[in-house]
Amino acid sequence: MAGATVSLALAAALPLASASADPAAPDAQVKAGYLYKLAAFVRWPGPGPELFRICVSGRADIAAALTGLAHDRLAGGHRIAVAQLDRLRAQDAAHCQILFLGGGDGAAEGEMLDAVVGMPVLTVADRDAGASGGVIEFFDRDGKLRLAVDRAAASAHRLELSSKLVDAAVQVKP
Amino acid sequence: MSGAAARNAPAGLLQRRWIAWLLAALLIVLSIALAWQREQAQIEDQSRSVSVQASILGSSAAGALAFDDADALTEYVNALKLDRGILAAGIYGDGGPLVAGFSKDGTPLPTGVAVHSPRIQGLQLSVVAPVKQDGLALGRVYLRTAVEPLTERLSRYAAIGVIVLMAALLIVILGASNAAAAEANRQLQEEIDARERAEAALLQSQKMEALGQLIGGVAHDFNNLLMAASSGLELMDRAKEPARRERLKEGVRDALDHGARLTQHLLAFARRAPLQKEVVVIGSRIDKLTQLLDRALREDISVKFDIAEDLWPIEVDLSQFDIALLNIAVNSRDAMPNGGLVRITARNRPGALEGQDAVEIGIADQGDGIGPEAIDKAFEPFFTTKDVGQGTGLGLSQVYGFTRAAGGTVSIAGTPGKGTTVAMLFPRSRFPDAVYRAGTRPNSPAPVLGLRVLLVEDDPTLNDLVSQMLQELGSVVVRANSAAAALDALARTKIDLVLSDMVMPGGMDGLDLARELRKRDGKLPVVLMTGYSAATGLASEEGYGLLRKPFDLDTLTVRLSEAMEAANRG
Repeated sequence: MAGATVSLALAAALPLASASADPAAPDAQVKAGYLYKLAAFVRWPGPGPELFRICVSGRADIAAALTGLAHDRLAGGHRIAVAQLDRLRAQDAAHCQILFLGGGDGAAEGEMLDAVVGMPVLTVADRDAGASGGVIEFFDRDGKLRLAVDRAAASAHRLELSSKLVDAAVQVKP
Repeated sequence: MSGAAARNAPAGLLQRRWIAWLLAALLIVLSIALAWQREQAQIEDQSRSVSVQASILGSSAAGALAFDDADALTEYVNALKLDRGILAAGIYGDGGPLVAGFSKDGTPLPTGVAVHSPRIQGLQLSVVAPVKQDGLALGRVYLRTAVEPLTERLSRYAAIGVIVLMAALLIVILGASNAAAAEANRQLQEEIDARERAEAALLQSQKMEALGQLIGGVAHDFNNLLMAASSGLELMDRAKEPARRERLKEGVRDALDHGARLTQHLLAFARRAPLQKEVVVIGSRIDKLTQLLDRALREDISVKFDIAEDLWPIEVDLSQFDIALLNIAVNSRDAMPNGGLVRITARNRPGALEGQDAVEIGIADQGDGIGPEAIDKAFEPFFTTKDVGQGTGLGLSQVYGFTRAAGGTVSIAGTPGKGTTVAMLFPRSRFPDAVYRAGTRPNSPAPVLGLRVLLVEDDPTLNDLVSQMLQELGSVVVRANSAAAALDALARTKIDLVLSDMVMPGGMDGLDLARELRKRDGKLPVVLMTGYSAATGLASEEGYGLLRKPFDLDTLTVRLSEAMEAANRG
């Protein structure tokens, strides 16, 4: 089962992730916080999974910060699991609710995007790190992390974005 | 208003005053309670309104708060500045730091806030609401508004307060005026009572005066006749010639007869004369009345009867009726010194006597007439308009007593110089079938010779006298001095007739004895003797023979014969 695999990966990856967190990347906390909060502004189709999975590609420090944030918390009434996708196969990305593309391995992340086309997965791309193609993209403006929203992409992923999220976005692609 | 109501008035007064004050107090308390309740409702409204504003702010700020859009947050908060009621507003992040906010009154925004429902501090109302998105806590919103100052709130209630106070005052004033009216009413009632007492006292003194007049008159008349009797007896002792003795004896006899008539008149006036009522149709007595009046009136006075056909029967004592008619006719005669006509009418008057059918007998003359003052006093005993020695003043008072005793009324009407009319009203008899017609009285008394008479009389002198009278008539007398003794005697010996006094000491009086005898032997005739007794009417109604004291041998014979005849018939 994919779920079981993710859980196992989570258990194995987290200590590693926190250990390998880059202390020179202060944006990790902010990005982890944004990823965590995003879940509250998006509605996924269907009843939703038992475990809410946030998958992080390319940024072990963000995964570690997320794990700390999400401890003992719920998203949409479900327990949150954080997974680092670097060592997983691209197909596993389809089991994530949120897929963060940190811009590490461009080819691998392209595969992941391909794997989740049409799937109810909120893709988030870190534009400053070279990643792109997400429903939501992070970028820096005047030293502050800002959001860009692609509503068409959200529809393609069968996701409903809160108007508050759209209001908070600096760039909105219809 | 009765005396009892007047006595109760002070209590009612107190009660009304008490109620007025209570009502006024209730009105004020109720108004204060309503105002307080309205105040509470208004504060609740304001609290709710502030909570809603905080929720709206929190909801709209959720996105900006989640994704660090401080500019947007400042915009959201500043939009509230336009609301004059809001003194301060602030948005706090999840960790507690103030992200955006303002304070109008100079009081700085609190640095950290915990969620709380609306709370009043002094004249300010503050609330802290959470900012949440889909269950995720994102931060808090703080709002502080001004509460309307107490003076302003009180001024709002001032107008209605004045109205309420006026109403309370009105109630108290009304209560007081009501009490004053009741007090005035009570005083008026006291005055009325006092006046009534004075009137009663006056009436009493008038009664006493009339009584004094009556007693004086009776004493005067009795003195005269006692004088006549005693001097007659004295002279009889000295007279040698039998003819002179006979004349003197007649004089004494007349004096005594006069005395008996006098007491009869007095008793008739007092309505205590023993009445022997008979059912009679007056129309059947014209002949007898004509005879009676012819003897009493002068030749220059003619009498005309005008008696209606089908006259109803009435119940009267015929001898009293004759005397009454005679008394009125004599007055008419004396009022017409030059002669004239006395007109006697009789007619039915349906419903004339307090709704009951009655027969009216009127006697009208063409004499001097009568003045209003004399009309008022005409029926008083010893009142007379005649010269001294011409009348006793008892004639019309006998008429009055007789008509009252018969259940009727008498009235007098007249104008000075145009004649007088006296009208007697008698109730229609309930026994029209038992009409007693004149002329059927026994004229010749059946012999009472050898009759065994039981005489019951407690007075030993009278017992002796009546016993002698009975023996004189040839009766065999058995004497008893009480009802009990009479019953004993009856058990021992055969008795044809019982002659009993009406008033006797002991448990059983004459009437009781008569009833007891009727119960034992309905055929034994009983005759009751009486001077006066309240029960005579009853005895007469129950059909016992009545013998009026004082009586003479003739009357005794007639009564005994009547009783024997009645017993033989029945």
